Amino acid sequence: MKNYYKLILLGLFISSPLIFSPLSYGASGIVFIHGTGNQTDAATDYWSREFIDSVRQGMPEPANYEVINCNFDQYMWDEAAAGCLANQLHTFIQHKNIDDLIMLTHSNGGNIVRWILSNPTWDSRYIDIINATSRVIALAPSSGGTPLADAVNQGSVFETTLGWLLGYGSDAVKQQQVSWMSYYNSTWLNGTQNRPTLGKPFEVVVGSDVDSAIWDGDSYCAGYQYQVALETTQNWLDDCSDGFLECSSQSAAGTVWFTDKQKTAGREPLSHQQSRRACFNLDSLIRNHI
Amino acid sequence: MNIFPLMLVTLSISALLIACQDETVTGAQDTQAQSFTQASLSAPQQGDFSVTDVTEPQLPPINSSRESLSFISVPAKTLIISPPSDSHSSSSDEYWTTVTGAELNRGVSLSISQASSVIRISPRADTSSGALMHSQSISPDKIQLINLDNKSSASKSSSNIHSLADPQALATAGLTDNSSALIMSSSAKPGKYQLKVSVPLAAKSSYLVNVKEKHSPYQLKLTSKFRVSSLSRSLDFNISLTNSDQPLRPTASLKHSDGSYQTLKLVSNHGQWQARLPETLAMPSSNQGLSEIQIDMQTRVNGIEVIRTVKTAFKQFVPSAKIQQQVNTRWREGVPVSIAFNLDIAAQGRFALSGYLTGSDASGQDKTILKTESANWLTLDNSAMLLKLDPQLIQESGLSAPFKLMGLELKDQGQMARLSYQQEALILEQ
Repeated sequence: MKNYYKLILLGLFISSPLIFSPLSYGASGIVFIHGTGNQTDAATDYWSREFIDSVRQGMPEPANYEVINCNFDQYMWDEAAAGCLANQLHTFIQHKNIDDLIMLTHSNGGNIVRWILSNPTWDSRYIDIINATSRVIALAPSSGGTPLADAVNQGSVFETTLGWLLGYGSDAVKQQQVSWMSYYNSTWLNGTQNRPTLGKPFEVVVGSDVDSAIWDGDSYCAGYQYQVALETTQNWLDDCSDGFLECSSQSAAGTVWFTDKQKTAGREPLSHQQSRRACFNLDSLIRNHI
Repeated sequence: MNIFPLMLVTLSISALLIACQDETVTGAQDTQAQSFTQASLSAPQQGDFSVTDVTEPQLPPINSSRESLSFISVPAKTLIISPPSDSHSSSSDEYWTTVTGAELNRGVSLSISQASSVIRISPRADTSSGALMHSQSISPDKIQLINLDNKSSASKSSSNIHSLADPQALATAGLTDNSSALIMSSSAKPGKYQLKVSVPLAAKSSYLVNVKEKHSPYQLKLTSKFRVSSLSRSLDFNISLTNSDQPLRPTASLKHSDGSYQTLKLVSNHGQWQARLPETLAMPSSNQGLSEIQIDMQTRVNGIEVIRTVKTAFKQFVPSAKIQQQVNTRWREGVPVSIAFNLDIAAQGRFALSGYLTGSDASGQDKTILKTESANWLTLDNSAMLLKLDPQLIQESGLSAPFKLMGLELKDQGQMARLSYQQEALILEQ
């Protein structure tokens, strides 16, 4: 029995690079984790090459980065969502011997990361990820949900409504309704007030306003067409919002690193579309922070 | 460069040999210093909750993993172990109603309580005819809004509308249900309006009309429980309308996560409302997602008709497991090493236990040492669970007996439901 135990230990030492990593092989790495949506090329379709390449220069080894592509239209716990994220993170950690992982999330990506950090006994892959994670930088996380998710789920919304057919609506949108997130925050997600902490720093960047005046050139960063629509949907939101999420939702979990105008170039606000792009020096703020 | 990996291997093998030696020594110590104690869980206190009679879940589990997993972490020093919130409040300054395409073509009467309100028309799927019908989206330039209280020229549609947004624009900003919206003019008066669509719509097609009155002084607040057992026949809730002392006459609906609605019967008792859950289809068809209670009401305040809809989510669950009273603690050299529990279950499933170990400081105050979590697939033949503790963390904490297990929580990972919570669960005494 004792010999068997020794063999298991030996096997672990030889087969697991993570065992070696604390000695000297440990490396730093950064992953870019998108928000709601089923991404296959998030580097170009969700983030932008400019943003990714700028941010990763702040890492000791800029080549150690990964852009996640998963189906975040599903509930956060779904194998296609957190399971997919766990697989991609796990592979990245193993291949690069990462023991100092920074996760950069946007919007609902923050919820899926919180799901993993909060539920180590759900899935064995989560434990390795938790152990390798140093911190999370959450750009406009939808920690408290959004009234816009409530609005699109009003009435008899069936799985096959037009929204679903067109790829708009999803279980992830259902999950981000305000009272749903309140339930999940009280039961399955850590990091909000009066709940256990996440065990890792969860640093939040809050977008507080939408600037869409047609004569304002700043409105064009990340697309003018979005800005006009965002200002319309402000009617469903608090006065402090990024056009999709209220400030109170973004700051509901973790600690606020900064609210846009405190640090952005020209004290410009970051709309929900802008907080994942190289707008108003956001990329260099993150680069210098990591 | 090649020397370094060799050094690592050497170091690793050395560490391995030490580990093996330690294991041998520890084994010898185990026989001398290890002991077990049996104790009962403390009596429940206010805020604690648990299952009385276990029942077998009928729906497929979300998590059916057979992995046995344990995790120990050190919580933040600022952590205050407190019972989880058991209710949620939602406030609403809006209402919504479902109409047909024919009604929209004829004109739908809407009560508006303030200027600059937003009206949204959203096509909805409908199965009332037996087949699934998808309604077409509406171009905003085909929407008219006429003030029914004012027959003068000022009642023309254009004077009541400030701006319009089409489905494509709204979708880019997060309103992703093919809806169109108009913002009413800041000079529009409270009263009755007629919303009309000039393009012919399928007569039986279904549309949701949503009136949003941002910053309205009349907010309907709903508070209800987060969790409702399958054995419960009712759901308690409270409602109130700000700036109004009018008695409320609400109606209620139960909405499952698949989008289906059922009307609920209501009973009022001294301001507390109780919704009777239906005899059939009371439970959702899936463990995924949450159920919702939706409250609709209308009243008159200061001569203005106010209509509101509000909803909040809750988890419907089957009481599938409970923790047995007797637990066994394993000790080594005066330090607790693990706590063994047995669960009463009605069917196999994946369950998770968690709790906080505290110790006493020099002044006799309880301080948190660690959080321990464990999950396993339990069967009727093996329903034991173990919460592991970390003797090294306990010793390094500098805290001493009495050790306590606080915030003991049982979850069903198949249903994604919290089944029980006990704030002060156990005093560990050797």
